[in-house]
Amino acid sequence: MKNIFFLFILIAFISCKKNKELPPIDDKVDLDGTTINDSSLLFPEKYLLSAAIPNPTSIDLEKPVVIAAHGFTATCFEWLEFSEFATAKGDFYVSRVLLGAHGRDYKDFKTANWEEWQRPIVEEYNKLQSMGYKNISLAGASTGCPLILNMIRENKINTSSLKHVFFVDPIILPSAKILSISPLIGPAIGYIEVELDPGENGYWYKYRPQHPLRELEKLIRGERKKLERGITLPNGTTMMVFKSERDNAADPAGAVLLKKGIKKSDGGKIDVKMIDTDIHVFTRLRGRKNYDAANNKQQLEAFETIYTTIK
Amino acid sequence: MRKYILLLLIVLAFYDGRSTASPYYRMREPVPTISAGLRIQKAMGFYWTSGITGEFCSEKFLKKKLSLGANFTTSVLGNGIRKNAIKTYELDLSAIKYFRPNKVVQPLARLNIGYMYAAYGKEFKGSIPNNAFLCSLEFGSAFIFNEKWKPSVGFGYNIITGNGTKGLATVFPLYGHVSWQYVF
Repeated sequence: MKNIFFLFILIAFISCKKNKELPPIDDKVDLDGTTINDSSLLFPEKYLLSAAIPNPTSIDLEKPVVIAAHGFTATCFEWLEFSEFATAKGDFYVSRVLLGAHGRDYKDFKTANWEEWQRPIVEEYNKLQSMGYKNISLAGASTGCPLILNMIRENKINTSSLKHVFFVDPIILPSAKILSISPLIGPAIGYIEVELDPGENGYWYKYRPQHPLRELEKLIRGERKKLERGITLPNGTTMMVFKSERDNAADPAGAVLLKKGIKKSDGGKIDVKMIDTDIHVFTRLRGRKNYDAANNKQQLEAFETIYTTIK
Repeated sequence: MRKYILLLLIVLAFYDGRSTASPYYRMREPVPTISAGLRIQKAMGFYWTSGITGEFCSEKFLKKKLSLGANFTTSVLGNGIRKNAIKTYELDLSAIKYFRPNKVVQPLARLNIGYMYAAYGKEFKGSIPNNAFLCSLEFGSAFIFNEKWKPSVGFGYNIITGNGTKGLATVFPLYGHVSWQYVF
């Protein structure tokens, strides 16, 4: 009887094929479809500083630049409000980078690995540095944070121009702990669907295939291990972490690991600000259905803090 | 990972427990026992932890149909040996059911109720939950090769995990464990 039971499980396991069917993508609404793409692909000059000002003057080169990287399944939309804030200030630039395999369609996203997501951030940093910008900062939201941490830690960029690093709701520990067993259950589930607010449609992938979920898990597990061993920031670089206290995507305890695991080159601690909100990436409010005046205030305070730090 | 699961299922499917049953244990009725030893755990995608474990079984308690157990494990004896990792402390009380008593291989099912504390540091006190009650189910097997030593292996599933808005971040769903106890 026992043998029959285990053989049944064995057959069931072998029969469990990868879900190769496409999810029910609505091409008219969903970013996952082939019709809607992130507009930075068509108009890079509206997003990337390297494309907007190909021949910067000495005055341009003196201004601080923040390269902003969005999170998993998101697009440049996630940093739109900060970009508008920069335009209103007029004395610093924001270069919004679209992560690799993002903002296109489900097919591109399905097969890419996290190194491909990271590549455009490295490329934009290198371009701006080679143009002569001396005051460059990196800002990440959610998954943008471990991607940035990895490129600094592994010396994928020359950090001589890197002044500040800002993390907004970094994903170091996933809130959905089920992500940790994605290598086991991933092939069975194929993809998962997330519910977007109406204002978010077309700016986020709605369907998350198992391969990128496993890549995300691999990325954050790798960076977490390095944090345990300790990471020292490049000489003269500072870091500030903004973390929502209640976050259903990036567990707030990730801030603990960053605080413990990263030191400035002089041995000093990095700054961590816990924010009393339950919004994941609280610096992006546009497109959300539910937020209030207190959230607006938190967003503005974070932008002002970044602004005063880079000036 | 997939190939290891396949391998495990193949082994279990063709394994015949009777062939390794010890004649000695087949003849002998179990006696009241206390055992204690070491336990090592690894959460899938998270930390190694280790500590002590103990079990008690008596004729006076449910006629030996259930054993009572307790574990204390900490990441200090695991990943927490690195100074930047989070130090966790976990205490579990358990009810354990052994199947096939008197055999060398004794499959087991275990229900744990416990508590975990994570030392995040003073500056995070009040902003992040640092403790939680736990409830987990374990399945595995003990291997009774002789009277004095009782090794066991298995895997467990934490029913309650943190989700970023409540619960403890250091509780991950799936874990494996190994223990080695001395029977007094």
